[in-house]
Amino acid sequence: MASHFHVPETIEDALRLRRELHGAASFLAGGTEVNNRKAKEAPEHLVWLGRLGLGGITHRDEGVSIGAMTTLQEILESEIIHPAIHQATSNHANRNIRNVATIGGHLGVCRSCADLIPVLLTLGARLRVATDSGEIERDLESWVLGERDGIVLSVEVPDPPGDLRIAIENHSRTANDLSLIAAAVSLRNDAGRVRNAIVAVGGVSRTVIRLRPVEAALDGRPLPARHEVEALVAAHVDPITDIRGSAAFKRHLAATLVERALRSAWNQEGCR
Amino acid sequence: MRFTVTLNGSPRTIEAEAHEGVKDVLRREGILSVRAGCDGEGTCGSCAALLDGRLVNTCLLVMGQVAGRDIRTVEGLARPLELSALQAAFVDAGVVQCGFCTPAMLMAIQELLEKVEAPTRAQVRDALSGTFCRCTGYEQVYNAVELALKRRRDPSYKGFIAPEFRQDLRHVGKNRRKVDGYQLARGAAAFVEDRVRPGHCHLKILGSSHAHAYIKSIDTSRAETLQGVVLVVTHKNCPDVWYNAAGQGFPEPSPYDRKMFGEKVLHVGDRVAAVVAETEEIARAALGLIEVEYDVLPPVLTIDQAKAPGAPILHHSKVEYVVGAPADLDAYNRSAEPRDGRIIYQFPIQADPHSNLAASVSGGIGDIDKGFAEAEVILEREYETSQVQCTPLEPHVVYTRMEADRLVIHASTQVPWHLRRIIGRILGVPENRIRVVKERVGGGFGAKQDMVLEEVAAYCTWVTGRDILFCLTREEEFIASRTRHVMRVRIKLGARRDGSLTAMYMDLEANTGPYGAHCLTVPMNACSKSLPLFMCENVLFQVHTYYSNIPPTGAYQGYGAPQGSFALQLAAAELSDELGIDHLAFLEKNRVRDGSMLEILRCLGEGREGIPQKVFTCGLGPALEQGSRMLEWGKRDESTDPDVKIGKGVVIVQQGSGLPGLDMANAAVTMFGDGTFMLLSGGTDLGTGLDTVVVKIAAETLCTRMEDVSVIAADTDVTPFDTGAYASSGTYFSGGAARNAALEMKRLLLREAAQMLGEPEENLRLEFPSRVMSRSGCFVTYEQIARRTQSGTGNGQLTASGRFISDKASFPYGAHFCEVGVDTRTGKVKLHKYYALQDAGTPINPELALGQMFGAVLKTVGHSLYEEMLLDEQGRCLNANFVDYKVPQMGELPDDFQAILIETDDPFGPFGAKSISEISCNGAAPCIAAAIHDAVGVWIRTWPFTPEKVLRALGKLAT
Ligand SMILES: Cc1cc2nc3c(=O)[nH]c(=O)nc-3n(C[C@@H](O)[C@@H](O)[C@H](O)COP(=O)(O)OP(=O)(O)OC[C@H]3O[C@@H](n4cnc5c(N)ncnc54)[C@H](O)[C@@H]3O)c2cc1C
Ligand code: FES
Ligand code: FES
Repeated sequence: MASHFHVPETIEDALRLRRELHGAASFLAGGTEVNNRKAKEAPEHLVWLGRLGLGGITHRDEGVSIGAMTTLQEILESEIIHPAIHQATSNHANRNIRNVATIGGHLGVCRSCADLIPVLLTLGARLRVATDSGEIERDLESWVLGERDGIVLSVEVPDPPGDLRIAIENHSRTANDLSLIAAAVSLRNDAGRVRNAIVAVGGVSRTVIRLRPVEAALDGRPLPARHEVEALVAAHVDPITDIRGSAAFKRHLAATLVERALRSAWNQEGCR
Repeated sequence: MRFTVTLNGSPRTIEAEAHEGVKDVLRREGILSVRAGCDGEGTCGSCAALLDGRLVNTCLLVMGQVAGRDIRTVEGLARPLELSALQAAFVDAGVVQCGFCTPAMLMAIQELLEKVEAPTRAQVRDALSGTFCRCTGYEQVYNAVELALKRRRDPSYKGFIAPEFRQDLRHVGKNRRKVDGYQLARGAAAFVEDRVRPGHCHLKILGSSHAHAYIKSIDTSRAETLQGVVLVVTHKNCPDVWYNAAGQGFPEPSPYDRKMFGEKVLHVGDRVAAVVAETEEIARAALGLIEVEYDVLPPVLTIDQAKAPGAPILHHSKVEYVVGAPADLDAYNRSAEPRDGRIIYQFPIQADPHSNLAASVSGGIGDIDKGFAEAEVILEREYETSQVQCTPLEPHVVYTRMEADRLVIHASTQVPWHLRRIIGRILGVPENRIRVVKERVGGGFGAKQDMVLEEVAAYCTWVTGRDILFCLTREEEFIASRTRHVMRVRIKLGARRDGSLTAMYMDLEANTGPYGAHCLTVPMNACSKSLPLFMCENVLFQVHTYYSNIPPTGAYQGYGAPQGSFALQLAAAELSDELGIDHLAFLEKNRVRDGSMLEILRCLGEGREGIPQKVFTCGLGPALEQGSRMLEWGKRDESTDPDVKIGKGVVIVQQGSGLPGLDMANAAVTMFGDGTFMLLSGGTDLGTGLDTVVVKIAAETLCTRMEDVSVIAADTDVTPFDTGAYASSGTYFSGGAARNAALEMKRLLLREAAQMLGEPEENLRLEFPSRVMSRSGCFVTYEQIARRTQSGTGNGQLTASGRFISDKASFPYGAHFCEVGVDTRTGKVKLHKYYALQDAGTPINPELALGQMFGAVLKTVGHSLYEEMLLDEQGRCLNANFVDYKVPQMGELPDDFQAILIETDDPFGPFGAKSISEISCNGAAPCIAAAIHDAVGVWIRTWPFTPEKVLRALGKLAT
């Protein structure tokens, strides 16, 4: 349990607090992770991001901006959010958790099986991040795979081109379990050929990953037969065996779910 | 720091730290409805409240996050003595069972109804998606929501809740508000943790980090000197008394093979030391200061390891028998290891602890060899079940305190009297110095038949005089409470080509874990509640139970029958398939029916000679007939999804109604000055509705209103003896005692009225409401009788008592049907339909009976599809929490989930009632396994049927 609670009123103060307290402080958003009694190490100082005006979903320029403190339930209830994001969000835990957990916290934790990250990757989402050296924009993939430093201010989701097709699939043991495998794909069907495919999978690596070799192999040709796609995916994921399933099972699931998502996207009429 | 929040509509200033957990602060502020069902990991939802109108888990929030905000809890839903429309609808619909999760469920639906005018089923499901309820099976919540919505427009709306039975009766068989519904739906003080007084101490246990070890040395000196530590107990200073914790009637069939603290630890989490301290933090800190040196022994985890030659022995103890000691006992004891202590058997249970054999038994009827010789088809199969946890929402908890020179134990138990007896013996204190008060129990399911923690707290209070609260964490509940016995069952069946069974052989091995609580009776029950479903002349069974170092096992709703039923019913399905006979036709051909004589029960007594029983009523015929119609048995269904295959399954199940010749219940009725009554019942209501059962039975018998009968139950100082709530005995035994006490009161009423009216008793009868009527048309009211009997010239206050014992066994029967969809690419099994049809005799509380059925089915859908405790090679449980151990919740409900009561009229139970509580646990596993086979052609013979197992069976996974 933490022993200090800070309520900065500006981003600068929040960053300064964190900087001055070094490793002893953690940003606090909804707290489903930070306040969790099962958390591995409880930080001594909590720096709450609740007074920084980071909530709210707005449509601007060519996309939707989701403030970092927006809860997952607010995302689910928003009418301007892409339906695929809705679908992914509805797979996240349960009502009680979604009412509190924030998108910023979701990106802060960046679980291997994070439910929203795959779909955000397929939509080409970018992040606005406040860092000690000023505000920057980063693409989501670099955040997920790289250094996660600073305060996420918002997630910027560009409006997808009209012919982008998106599909998601997930598998969990029970409805409010964490996803064991979460997959999202997007592609364009260019006169019977796959173009610009993005294939993102959670649950097979330390973080959600894009299967770039799979994306490349699919490019420029009709979607191959089921078994070929499955084999392709299986060859490019390397999950670990743990108490929720063996590596072989997870690899099989990832292949099945990605293939399903690809097939479903491929067979769609272009959406939005 | 000071915080201002709006709490249930009023501003409230709260003194707290900004980083303090909101749940703890709310409880400190007197908001008792935010309860903990997990270790603050956000997985149970029991602590939920509305924050600015949204449902949140208060254990995951700190005070700083809620400053200035609006918090609402169930305490704010209704004015005193009232229920809100939603609360009332919950009670009416029968979704308040133990009530531990009820405040959370109510707030979830409250949020929904504030946002959505007319919610869909999907929205109800989503609203409750984070609320774990182990009792109800959720299905009736849909009903409750509908009632609440209809009553918005029409407050007097009654609606359809459940079918009613027995037109000739006023209360029995009718849907009536549960007597504890008001208290539970308001989230009022009810459970043990709500009883604690300021200044109490906390007890914490140092659990063993090894599965099997001797304690070479233990040094508690640093812990003892820590400021705020009151007492440290270890094997060195605990009472030297051997006992068993099974919570059974005396003399118990379970061995006395444990002390409060042993010199040898037998499972990870086994008791090493207890610390009593002023605060929880100090107690935890003190645990860390205890230095233990272990002599680690190799752990024994499986049945095969336990019986292997040269296996490490758990109890190389000195063996004693109260009766029936074998002649060679001295020789046997020569090799005993002093550090292993003793084992005392009340009578022989064919144990050989020096070979890890905890108990064994065999028996049969007819001639098994002849039976197999006559068979034209013989099938041999092996089935295995894994370890699953009862997971009551309220983890084990006890609060002990002294009242003058007497010990008071506020317990969440199924067996108050056994608890008093066993604790009295351990403490060396006579029973009249101990009072056990059973509080509302937040789910028992068998885990609270065992004495899991009470004796430690009781002892510590007795020696220190301090109030002590001792509650298990969820993790401790997994590793140190009670679980279902692991079993391996070999079945061999012989049949003629026409499908008639000629021989049944059941070879059952069970893993009882570290101690022998229920080691004979649970595995036996796997036989005695499965074999008598089939009428076969040649039957043989063998049971061997082994000790091991897995987390303790014990009683769990169904008491072995789910495992036995899984094996035998699935073998019957396999045999039908082999014979090419429709499974339903096979069941119909071989099943038990009205008038069947169950000879096999002669060899299935609990450690002594059993009693063969005649079946007086058996509802299986109509259950099978109706269920097959509902499911359209025989019709093949195709999914619109080519990857999904659909299959159907059926099984028959049975249980008992208490233990004839062993159980006993008592009750007393007292008349008050205005003609109302107090019923004192020994029965232990675990949320099952037993208190309502006994009130109904008394009110029915006494021709009075239910409101005019109050009940106090299961308080050893106040109410008469009852063996307790286990073996499905409540309605039959405790209900029977209430019936007999009320009949005695009726006799007294007639006697008094005869005197008052000057008419012979034969001319008089009781008439609703509350009067004695004569044929002549004259009457006296109960109030008049009460006034007279309690006057200076009266015969004295009318008090009557009654007991119930029985040598008859009234078996409830049932048929379960299901339809599954199996995704052949992911291996996921989805329940489309599940129909449980049960014959419970006369259902006393129909809506609550349905709730028992829904709950039992969903619980066992759990072990069929999701639940399994995983141990590593050192015996450590890898998934002792609800993140990793998945229980079915609302999202796992079958799309079409129905519970149907088949009425029969039992000649022995009160108003024709039989039990309902456990039986519905016995169908899910074999029924779903049979349906999986019907869908995709593979038999899965170990539960749970996980996607990975299904895929492997389908040959879709490389090893
Ligand atoms: C019971 C339960 C079930 C869950 N189920 C799921 C599930 O099904 N799927 C899933 O994907 N996840 C699940 N989770 C994980 C869930 O906690 C996260 O997905 C959630 O979104 C975290 O949000 P939060 O606001 O609560 O984060 P917090 O706990 O407040 O913070 C989490 C981390 O993010 C950091 N952080 C917070 N905000 C920011 C920001 N703006 N910028 C930078 N860093 C930030 C914090 O410092 C911290 O390290 C579950 C968690 C629980 C407790
Ligand atoms: S105690 Fe809060 S979710 Fe379990
Ligand atoms: S009534 Fe829900 S847990 Fe008991």
